[in-house]
Amino acid sequence: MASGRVKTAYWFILPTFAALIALKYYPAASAVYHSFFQWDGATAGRFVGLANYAQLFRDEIIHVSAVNVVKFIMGRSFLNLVFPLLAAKLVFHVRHQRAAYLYRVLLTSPIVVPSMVLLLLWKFIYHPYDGLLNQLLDAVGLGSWRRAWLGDFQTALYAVIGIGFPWVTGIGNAGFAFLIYLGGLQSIPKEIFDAAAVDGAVSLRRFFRVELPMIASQLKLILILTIINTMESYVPVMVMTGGGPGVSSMVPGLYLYESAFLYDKFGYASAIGVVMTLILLVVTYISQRSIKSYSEAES
Amino acid sequence: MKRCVAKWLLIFLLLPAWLLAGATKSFAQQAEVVIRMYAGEYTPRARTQSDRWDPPSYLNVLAAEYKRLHPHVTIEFLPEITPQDRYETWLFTQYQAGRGPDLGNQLFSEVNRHYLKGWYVNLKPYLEQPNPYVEGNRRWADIFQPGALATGVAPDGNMYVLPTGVVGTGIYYNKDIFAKAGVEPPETWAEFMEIQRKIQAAGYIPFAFPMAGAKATTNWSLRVIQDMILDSKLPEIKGTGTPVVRTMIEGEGISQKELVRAIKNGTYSAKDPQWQEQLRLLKEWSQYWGPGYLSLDPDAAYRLFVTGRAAMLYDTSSRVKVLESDSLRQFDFGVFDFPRITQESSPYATGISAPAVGGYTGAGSFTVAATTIDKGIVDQVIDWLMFITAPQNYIPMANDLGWYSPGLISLEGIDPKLEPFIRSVENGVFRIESFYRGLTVEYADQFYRVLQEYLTGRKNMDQATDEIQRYMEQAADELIERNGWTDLLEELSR
Repeated sequence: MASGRVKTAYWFILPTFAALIALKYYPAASAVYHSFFQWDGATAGRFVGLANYAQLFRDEIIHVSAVNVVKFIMGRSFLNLVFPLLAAKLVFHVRHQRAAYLYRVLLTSPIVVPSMVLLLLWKFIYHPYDGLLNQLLDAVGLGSWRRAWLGDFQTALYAVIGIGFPWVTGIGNAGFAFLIYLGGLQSIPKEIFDAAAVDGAVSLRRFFRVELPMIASQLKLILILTIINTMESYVPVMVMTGGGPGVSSMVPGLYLYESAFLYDKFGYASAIGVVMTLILLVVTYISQRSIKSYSEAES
Repeated sequence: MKRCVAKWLLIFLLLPAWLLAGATKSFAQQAEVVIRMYAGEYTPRARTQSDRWDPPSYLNVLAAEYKRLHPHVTIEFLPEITPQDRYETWLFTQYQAGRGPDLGNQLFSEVNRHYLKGWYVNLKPYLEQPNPYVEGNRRWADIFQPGALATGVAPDGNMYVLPTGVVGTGIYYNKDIFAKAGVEPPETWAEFMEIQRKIQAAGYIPFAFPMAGAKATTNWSLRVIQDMILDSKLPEIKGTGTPVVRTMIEGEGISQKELVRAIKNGTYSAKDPQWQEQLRLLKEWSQYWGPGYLSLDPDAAYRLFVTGRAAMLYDTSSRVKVLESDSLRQFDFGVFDFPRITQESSPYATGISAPAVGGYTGAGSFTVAATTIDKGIVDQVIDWLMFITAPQNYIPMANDLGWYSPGLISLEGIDPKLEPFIRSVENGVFRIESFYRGLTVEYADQFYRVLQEYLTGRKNMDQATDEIQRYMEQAADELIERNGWTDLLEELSR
């Protein structure tokens, strides 16, 4: 009877597996296969062996975009680790239940706004003439700081990294991070807080000695998701700067997209994708091993 | 016996059913045909709250009239996709999936890049047929300007696109700012720089030049400047030694193959001081583009102009109706041609006037998807195309949009505001393609990135042209391989 039910269960999850194979595993396998071909995406390709990989390592744009994506990852990781956590901690310690609920709603509701809307809004904020940021700088007497934020080689990449201020909700997985952290803090047993209070651990000391270690697994999760998301992401750069000016804000994801859909070099784009995947696997593994959760630390 | 009778009875009963099924099927084919059309800027839609001018709607009128003539045919208009590169990406995926629009709208240069993929119907045989919607017409091709037909010819000699939308460009200027600065529309490059200096001194942005997003303005500018600067060298680049005359047809001057040959044999080189002159002039001009031009896209540049903060804007004939209808505009505007480069500004100038930028690249560049053959509706799609290109239909449609002139021989009734642009194109377009469509799309992006670094001083002329030359040669090699130009390789090796 039980084995009959198990068999039935497998039948029920079969469609999911079929979709997974068709939409995830097959495209990935196809990308690996086509990375060894010179292929325009429509006609039959020509086998070129490792030529695409060799070109990738010689490509100056890849070098620049690799450095840019490292900056991007570091920037977004800092923003996603610090600010949502700060907001979660503040909301967690609000004593009034209704106020806490209200803050939670206010800080998570922007998640439902489509990210494209936010990107276009930030493009306007950064506008060199009519943008909110430059007008704000004028208003507070910092007119000398006016910039063409997205059109300046020095600031374009950082302007894209910085979208979503105050970095608690909205772009990327920041809003999601806030909820994860809040959930983590809420799951800390009350007895631990009581014991910490008895030992004199309050405020900052409690945060660093008790709360932070207890939510290490949440931090690890957000860090890994941020790294993966930022590495693959290209839409913010595409919408805001197109990788420019020059290649100052180019990232590998956008270059992959351009190589495939603009330059008809699907084989080369596949090679870029394969290398990105391998790097992501290594980085994810290192992140997993280096940050121990509380339970892992205890054992 | 009974079995034999039963067998024949069965056959006689089934036979009419089989025949009826065939008739029903053909009746169903007659019953309903849906033609999916991507009409580009002609896509009809209702005015929304955010519209500052009336969007086009005349295709709805034509579709209704066509339905009256052919009740079994419905035209379904696909929503317009902008900007151009997003549209091309969408179109690529649609054609790959066999879902391309039955009647599409695509630049001839893009069609000629993709025609080998088998996406399009060869229109040449159909152009030999009479257009039933044009009285007395014996050959559909006869209603089009020769330039339109010549522009649509693919490298293999067939015709996969019918580019009938004529667009012109000009420099729009704010007459009020010009009056305040005490300047007049310039004739020469030197005058052009001088009036911009005065406009800047008067506190305005002289020129709204967008370098973010679409590369159109840079492309047009370099086409014009390069044509004038390389005027004396064009015969050598072409390889014939004879003068290269201007016509209405893009690409009729120096073809892509001739350009590739010139790159490979060194007559067209980024290390040539005469070639480099175009970059120098562009950099000289860039001081008047206002801060932040690298992050200014065409819409933002237009907004700077229409709100009276920038004095000039380089744009197409499409802006005429837009500017006239735009409630943000509080000034009178005019249009002048791109100024002529003289010896006063460059030792390479021959004094030739600026060429027109335009030609058959407006909306109305029609393609018919190869999938219409499989669907059995290709004849119907061609018929619909013949209907909309008939002058009595096309001209009102063009006037409704107000952006492009149809590439028809008979232009009776065309909006007179489009005539200056048509006239400039008739005087002859640029003879040598610039970075944007001259070689590969990848080269265009590579050139553009280096250009931005050069204009902002991050790279000097030597550094910039070293890199551009390398990219140019790579693009030339790629085109030789892609097009199978083995004859060119043999010629160069001799």
